[in-house]
Amino acid sequence: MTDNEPMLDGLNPEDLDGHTIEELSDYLDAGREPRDPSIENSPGARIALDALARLRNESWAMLEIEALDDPNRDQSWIKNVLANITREARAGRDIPVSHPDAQTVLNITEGSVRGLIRAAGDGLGGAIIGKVALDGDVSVPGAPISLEISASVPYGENLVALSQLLRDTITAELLVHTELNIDVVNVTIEDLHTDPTEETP
Amino acid sequence: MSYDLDLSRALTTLVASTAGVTEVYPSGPLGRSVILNLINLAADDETDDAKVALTRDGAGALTVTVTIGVDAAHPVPTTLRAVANAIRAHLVNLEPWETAPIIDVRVSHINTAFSVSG
Repeated sequence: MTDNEPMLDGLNPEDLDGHTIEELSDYLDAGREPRDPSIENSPGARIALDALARLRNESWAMLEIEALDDPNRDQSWIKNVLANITREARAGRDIPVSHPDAQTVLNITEGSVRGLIRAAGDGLGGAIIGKVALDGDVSVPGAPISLEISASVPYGENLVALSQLLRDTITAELLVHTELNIDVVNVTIEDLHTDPTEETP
Repeated sequence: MSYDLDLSRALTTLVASTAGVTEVYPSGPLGRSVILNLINLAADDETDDAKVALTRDGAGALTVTVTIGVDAAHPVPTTLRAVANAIRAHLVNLEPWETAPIIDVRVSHINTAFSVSG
Protein backbone atom coordinates (compact mmCIF):
# COMPACT_ATOMS: atom_id res chain seq x y z
CA MET A 1 0.00 0.00 0.00
CA THR A 2 1.30 3.45 -0.91
CA ASP A 3 0.99 6.54 1.23
CA ASN A 4 -1.74 7.82 -1.07
CA GLU A 5 -4.02 4.81 -0.93
CA PRO A 6 -5.89 5.78 2.25
CA MET A 7 -7.05 8.87 0.36
CA LEU A 8 -8.85 6.65 -2.11
CA ASP A 9 -10.91 4.59 0.33
CA GLY A 10 -14.66 4.80 0.64
CA LEU A 11 -15.58 6.36 -2.68
CA ASN A 12 -18.67 5.11 -4.46
CA PRO A 13 -17.94 2.78 -7.40
CA GLU A 14 -21.53 3.14 -8.65
CA ASP A 15 -20.59 6.57 -10.00
CA LEU A 16 -17.80 5.11 -12.15
CA ASP A 17 -19.67 2.27 -13.86
CA GLY A 18 -18.62 -0.23 -11.24
CA HIS A 19 -15.02 0.86 -10.88
CA THR A 20 -13.50 2.45 -7.83
CA ILE A 21 -11.27 5.48 -8.04
CA GLU A 22 -8.54 3.29 -6.56
CA GLU A 23 -8.85 0.92 -9.55
CA LEU A 24 -8.64 3.87 -11.89
CA SER A 25 -5.59 5.14 -10.04
CA ASP A 26 -3.89 1.75 -10.43
CA TYR A 27 -4.85 1.67 -14.09
CA LEU A 28 -3.28 5.07 -14.56
CA ASP A 29 -0.15 3.86 -12.75
CA ALA A 30 0.09 1.00 -15.26
CA GLY A 31 0.03 3.45 -18.16
CA ARG A 32 -3.52 2.34 -19.07
CA GLU A 33 -2.06 -1.01 -20.16
CA PRO A 34 -3.31 -3.60 -20.78
CA ARG A 35 -6.29 -1.76 -22.18
CA ASP A 36 -9.40 -2.33 -20.06
CA PRO A 37 -12.53 -1.91 -22.22
CA SER A 38 -14.79 -1.66 -19.16
CA ILE A 39 -12.88 1.50 -18.19
CA GLU A 40 -12.17 2.90 -21.63
CA ASN A 41 -15.81 2.40 -22.71
CA SER A 42 -17.15 4.18 -19.63
CA PRO A 43 -17.54 7.95 -20.08
CA GLY A 44 -17.67 8.42 -16.31
CA ALA A 45 -14.47 6.48 -15.78
CA ARG A 46 -12.80 8.45 -18.58
CA ILE A 47 -13.81 11.77 -17.00
CA ALA A 48 -12.38 10.61 -13.66
CA LEU A 49 -9.19 9.36 -15.34
CA ASP A 50 -8.67 12.78 -16.94
CA ALA A 51 -9.06 14.51 -13.58
CA LEU A 52 -6.82 12.01 -11.79
CA ALA A 53 -4.09 12.44 -14.40
CA ARG A 54 -4.17 16.23 -14.04
CA LEU A 55 -4.18 16.02 -10.28
CA ARG A 56 -1.05 13.91 -10.35
CA ASN A 57 0.74 15.99 -12.91
CA GLU A 58 0.08 19.30 -11.25
CA SER A 59 -0.32 18.73 -7.58
CA TRP A 60 0.85 15.31 -6.46
CA ALA A 61 4.29 16.71 -5.62
CA MET A 62 2.70 19.46 -3.56
CA LEU A 63 0.47 16.99 -1.74
CA GLU A 64 3.37 14.72 -0.90
CA ILE A 65 5.39 17.65 0.46
CA GLU A 66 2.54 18.98 2.56
CA ALA A 67 1.48 15.55 3.78
CA LEU A 68 4.87 15.27 5.46
CA ASP A 69 4.00 18.27 7.64
CA ASP A 70 0.31 17.65 8.24
CA PRO A 71 -0.90 14.29 6.91
CA ASN A 72 -4.40 14.48 8.36
CA ARG A 73 -5.23 17.85 6.84
CA ASP A 74 -3.94 17.08 3.38
CA GLN A 75 -5.29 13.55 3.15
CA SER A 76 -8.67 14.87 4.18
CA TRP A 77 -8.58 17.63 1.59
CA ILE A 78 -7.45 15.45 -1.29
CA LYS A 79 -9.90 12.73 -0.29
CA ASN A 80 -12.65 15.31 -0.65
CA VAL A 81 -11.33 16.25 -4.09
CA LEU A 82 -11.28 12.60 -5.17
CA ALA A 83 -14.80 12.08 -3.81
CA ASN A 84 -15.93 15.12 -5.78
CA ILE A 85 -14.27 13.83 -8.95
CA THR A 86 -16.13 10.54 -8.48
CA ARG A 87 -19.49 12.22 -7.93
CA GLU A 88 -19.02 14.75 -10.70
CA ALA A 89 -18.14 12.04 -13.26
CA ARG A 90 -21.74 10.80 -13.14
CA ALA A 91 -23.64 11.64 -16.31
CA GLY A 92 -26.17 13.72 -14.41
CA ARG A 93 -28.66 15.86 -16.29
CA ASP A 94 -28.83 16.38 -20.05
CA ILE A 95 -27.84 19.84 -21.25
CA PRO A 96 -29.50 20.54 -24.60
CA VAL A 97 -27.79 21.92 -27.70
CA SER A 98 -30.03 23.46 -30.33
CA HIS A 99 -30.61 22.09 -33.82
CA PRO A 100 -33.03 23.48 -36.42
CA ASP A 101 -34.50 20.02 -37.11
CA ALA A 102 -37.10 19.04 -34.51
CA GLN A 103 -36.34 15.37 -35.21
CA THR A 104 -32.78 15.84 -34.00
CA VAL A 105 -32.03 15.80 -30.27
CA LEU A 106 -28.59 16.93 -29.11
CA ASN A 107 -27.37 16.88 -25.53
CA ILE A 108 -24.22 17.18 -23.48
CA THR A 109 -24.19 15.36 -20.17
CA GLU A 110 -23.75 17.43 -17.04
CA GLY A 111 -20.89 15.14 -16.02
CA SER A 112 -18.91 15.93 -19.16
CA VAL A 113 -19.44 19.66 -18.60
CA ARG A 114 -18.28 19.39 -14.99
CA GLY A 115 -15.19 17.59 -16.31
CA LEU A 116 -14.60 20.41 -18.79
CA ILE A 117 -14.88 23.03 -16.04
CA ARG A 118 -12.49 21.12 -13.81
CA ALA A 119 -10.01 20.80 -16.68
CA ALA A 120 -10.22 24.53 -17.41
CA GLY A 121 -9.51 25.44 -13.80
CA ASP A 122 -6.97 22.82 -12.73
CA GLY A 123 -3.46 24.20 -12.95
CA LEU A 124 -4.58 27.76 -13.70
CA GLY A 125 -2.20 29.89 -11.65
CA GLY A 126 -1.42 26.73 -9.68
CA ALA A 127 -5.07 26.22 -8.66
CA ILE A 128 -6.54 22.82 -7.88
CA ILE A 129 -10.30 22.62 -8.34
CA GLY A 130 -12.07 21.14 -5.33
CA LYS A 131 -15.71 21.05 -6.33
CA VAL A 132 -17.83 21.96 -9.36
CA ALA A 133 -21.59 22.41 -9.25
CA LEU A 134 -24.10 23.76 -11.77
CA ASP A 135 -27.11 25.30 -10.06
CA GLY A 136 -30.26 25.96 -12.05
CA ASP A 137 -32.32 24.03 -14.57
CA VAL A 138 -29.64 23.12 -17.10
CA SER A 139 -32.15 21.08 -19.10
CA VAL A 140 -34.13 24.22 -20.04
CA PRO A 141 -32.52 26.29 -22.82
CA GLY A 142 -31.74 29.82 -21.67
CA ALA A 143 -32.42 29.20 -18.00
CA PRO A 144 -30.00 31.18 -15.81
CA ILE A 145 -27.30 28.95 -14.40
CA SER A 146 -24.93 29.69 -11.57
CA LEU A 147 -21.65 27.89 -11.15
CA GLU A 148 -20.23 27.10 -7.77
CA ILE A 149 -16.50 26.39 -7.91
CA SER A 150 -14.18 25.75 -4.99
CA ALA A 151 -10.41 25.66 -5.27
CA SER A 152 -7.14 25.50 -3.47
CA VAL A 153 -4.54 27.98 -4.69
CA PRO A 154 -0.84 28.47 -4.05
CA TYR A 155 0.10 30.45 -0.98
CA GLY A 156 1.10 34.01 -1.90
CA GLU A 157 -1.13 34.31 -4.98
CA ASN A 158 -3.38 37.35 -5.40
CA LEU A 159 -6.66 35.68 -4.52
CA VAL A 160 -8.88 38.32 -6.15
CA ALA A 161 -6.95 38.21 -9.42
CA LEU A 162 -6.75 34.41 -9.49
CA SER A 163 -10.46 34.06 -8.72
CA GLN A 164 -11.25 36.41 -11.60
CA LEU A 165 -8.94 34.44 -13.91
CA LEU A 166 -10.76 31.23 -12.95
CA ARG A 167 -14.14 32.89 -13.60
CA ASP A 168 -13.08 34.30 -16.96
CA THR A 169 -11.42 31.10 -18.19
CA ILE A 170 -14.24 28.82 -17.16
CA THR A 171 -16.90 31.16 -18.59
CA ALA A 172 -15.00 31.32 -21.89
CA GLU A 173 -14.83 27.53 -22.08
CA LEU A 174 -18.54 27.19 -21.44
CA LEU A 175 -19.34 29.78 -24.10
CA VAL A 176 -17.38 27.75 -26.66
CA HIS A 177 -18.68 24.32 -25.73
CA THR A 178 -22.24 24.79 -24.44
CA GLU A 179 -25.31 26.98 -24.90
CA LEU A 180 -25.71 27.48 -21.17
CA ASN A 181 -26.79 30.90 -19.96
CA ILE A 182 -24.18 31.45 -17.26
CA ASP A 183 -25.55 34.00 -14.86
CA VAL A 184 -22.78 33.98 -12.28
CA VAL A 185 -19.61 32.05 -11.47
CA ASN A 186 -18.94 31.93 -7.74
CA VAL A 187 -15.38 30.94 -6.88
CA THR A 188 -14.59 30.02 -3.30
CA ILE A 189 -10.94 29.70 -2.34
CA GLU A 190 -11.19 27.16 0.41
CA ASP A 191 -7.57 26.20 0.89
CA LEU A 192 -4.01 27.33 0.28
CA HIS A 193 -1.16 25.07 -0.69
CA THR A 194 2.53 25.15 -1.49
CA ASP A 195 3.35 25.86 -5.12
CA PRO A 196 4.97 22.63 -6.34
CA THR A 197 7.02 24.58 -8.86
CA GLU A 198 8.82 26.45 -6.09
CA GLU A 199 11.70 24.90 -4.23
CA THR A 200 11.05 24.05 -0.61
CA PRO A 201 13.55 25.28 1.97
CA MET B 1 -26.75 -10.64 -40.55
CA SER B 2 -29.60 -8.32 -39.78
CA TYR B 3 -30.25 -5.04 -41.48
CA ASP B 4 -30.19 -3.15 -38.18
CA LEU B 5 -26.85 -4.59 -37.14
CA ASP B 6 -25.30 -3.67 -40.47
CA LEU B 7 -26.82 -0.20 -40.25
CA SER B 8 -25.49 0.25 -36.72
CA ARG B 9 -22.02 -0.74 -37.89
CA ALA B 10 -22.16 1.67 -40.80
CA LEU B 11 -23.33 4.52 -38.56
CA THR B 12 -20.69 3.72 -35.93
CA THR B 13 -17.98 4.00 -38.56
CA LEU B 14 -19.53 7.20 -39.91
CA VAL B 15 -19.73 8.82 -36.47
CA ALA B 16 -16.21 7.76 -35.51
CA SER B 17 -14.85 9.45 -38.64
CA THR B 18 -16.56 12.78 -37.94
CA ALA B 19 -14.19 15.63 -37.05
CA GLY B 20 -14.04 16.18 -33.30
CA VAL B 21 -15.25 12.72 -32.31
CA THR B 22 -12.74 10.81 -30.18
CA GLU B 23 -14.88 7.86 -29.12
CA VAL B 24 -18.17 6.18 -29.89
CA TYR B 25 -19.55 4.64 -26.73
CA PRO B 26 -22.06 1.81 -26.72
CA SER B 27 -25.53 3.34 -26.50
CA GLY B 28 -28.37 1.76 -24.59
CA PRO B 29 -31.65 1.11 -26.33
CA LEU B 30 -34.52 3.52 -25.91
CA GLY B 31 -38.03 2.34 -25.11
CA ARG B 32 -39.28 -1.19 -25.33
CA SER B 33 -38.73 -2.01 -28.99
CA VAL B 34 -35.25 -3.34 -28.59
CA ILE B 35 -33.49 -4.33 -31.75
CA LEU B 36 -29.78 -4.02 -31.40
CA ASN B 37 -29.62 -4.87 -27.74
CA LEU B 38 -31.10 -8.32 -28.30
CA ILE B 39 -28.68 -8.94 -31.11
CA ASN B 40 -25.82 -7.91 -28.85
CA LEU B 41 -26.89 -10.43 -26.25
CA ALA B 42 -27.07 -13.21 -28.81
CA ALA B 43 -23.82 -12.49 -30.62
CA ASP B 44 -21.73 -10.09 -28.60
CA ASP B 45 -18.48 -11.01 -30.31
CA GLU B 46 -19.91 -9.83 -33.63
CA THR B 47 -21.24 -6.48 -32.43
CA ASP B 48 -18.20 -4.72 -30.98
CA ASP B 49 -18.20 -2.37 -33.92
CA ALA B 50 -21.96 -1.72 -33.70
CA LYS B 51 -22.22 0.89 -30.98
CA VAL B 52 -25.04 3.02 -32.35
CA ALA B 53 -28.39 1.96 -30.90
CA LEU B 54 -31.33 1.56 -33.24
CA THR B 55 -34.83 1.27 -31.86
CA ARG B 56 -38.23 1.31 -33.45
CA ASP B 57 -41.68 2.20 -32.22
CA GLY B 58 -44.75 0.11 -32.94
CA ALA B 59 -45.07 1.58 -36.42
CA GLY B 60 -41.43 0.84 -37.22
CA ALA B 61 -40.24 4.44 -37.03
CA LEU B 62 -36.53 4.54 -36.31
CA THR B 63 -34.69 6.28 -33.49
CA VAL B 64 -30.91 6.44 -33.77
CA THR B 65 -29.12 6.94 -30.45
CA VAL B 66 -25.45 7.82 -30.35
CA THR B 67 -23.19 8.45 -27.37
CA ILE B 68 -19.83 10.02 -28.10
CA GLY B 69 -16.68 11.43 -26.60
CA VAL B 70 -15.38 14.59 -28.25
CA ASP B 71 -12.16 16.55 -28.51
CA ALA B 72 -12.19 19.86 -26.63
CA ALA B 73 -10.18 21.37 -29.49
CA HIS B 74 -13.47 21.50 -31.42
CA PRO B 75 -16.55 23.35 -30.15
CA VAL B 76 -18.87 20.67 -28.81
CA PRO B 77 -22.06 22.03 -30.48
CA THR B 78 -20.29 22.00 -33.85
CA THR B 79 -19.27 18.37 -33.39
CA LEU B 80 -22.75 17.38 -32.19
CA ARG B 81 -24.42 18.96 -35.22
CA ALA B 82 -21.86 17.48 -37.59
CA VAL B 83 -22.57 13.99 -36.24
CA ALA B 84 -26.34 14.43 -36.45
CA ASN B 85 -26.13 15.89 -39.96
CA ALA B 86 -23.87 13.08 -41.15
CA ILE B 87 -26.30 10.47 -39.84
CA ARG B 88 -29.26 12.28 -41.41
CA ALA B 89 -27.49 12.51 -44.76
CA HIS B 90 -26.58 8.81 -44.64
CA LEU B 91 -30.17 7.82 -43.95
CA VAL B 92 -31.62 10.11 -46.58
CA ASN B 93 -29.17 8.98 -49.26
CA LEU B 94 -28.74 5.30 -48.48
CA GLU B 95 -31.75 4.26 -46.42
CA PRO B 96 -34.55 6.43 -47.88
CA TRP B 97 -37.25 4.09 -46.57
CA GLU B 98 -36.41 5.21 -43.04
CA THR B 99 -38.96 8.03 -42.93
CA ALA B 100 -38.43 10.86 -40.44
CA PRO B 101 -36.05 9.07 -38.12
CA ILE B 102 -35.28 10.65 -34.76
CA ILE B 103 -31.57 11.23 -34.26
CA ASP B 104 -30.43 11.52 -30.65
CA VAL B 105 -26.77 12.36 -30.07
CA ARG B 106 -25.28 12.76 -26.60
CA VAL B 107 -21.79 13.88 -25.61
CA SER B 108 -20.76 11.98 -22.49
CA HIS B 109 -17.08 12.89 -22.33
CA ILE B 110 -15.22 16.00 -23.45
CA ASN B 111 -11.68 14.86 -23.97
CA THR B 112 -9.57 17.57 -22.40
CA ALA B 113 -6.43 15.46 -22.74
CA PHE B 114 -6.36 16.64 -26.34
CA SER B 115 -6.81 20.35 -25.77
CA VAL B 116 -8.71 22.96 -23.84
CA SER B 117 -9.34 26.06 -25.91
CA GLY B 118 -8.28 29.52 -24.87
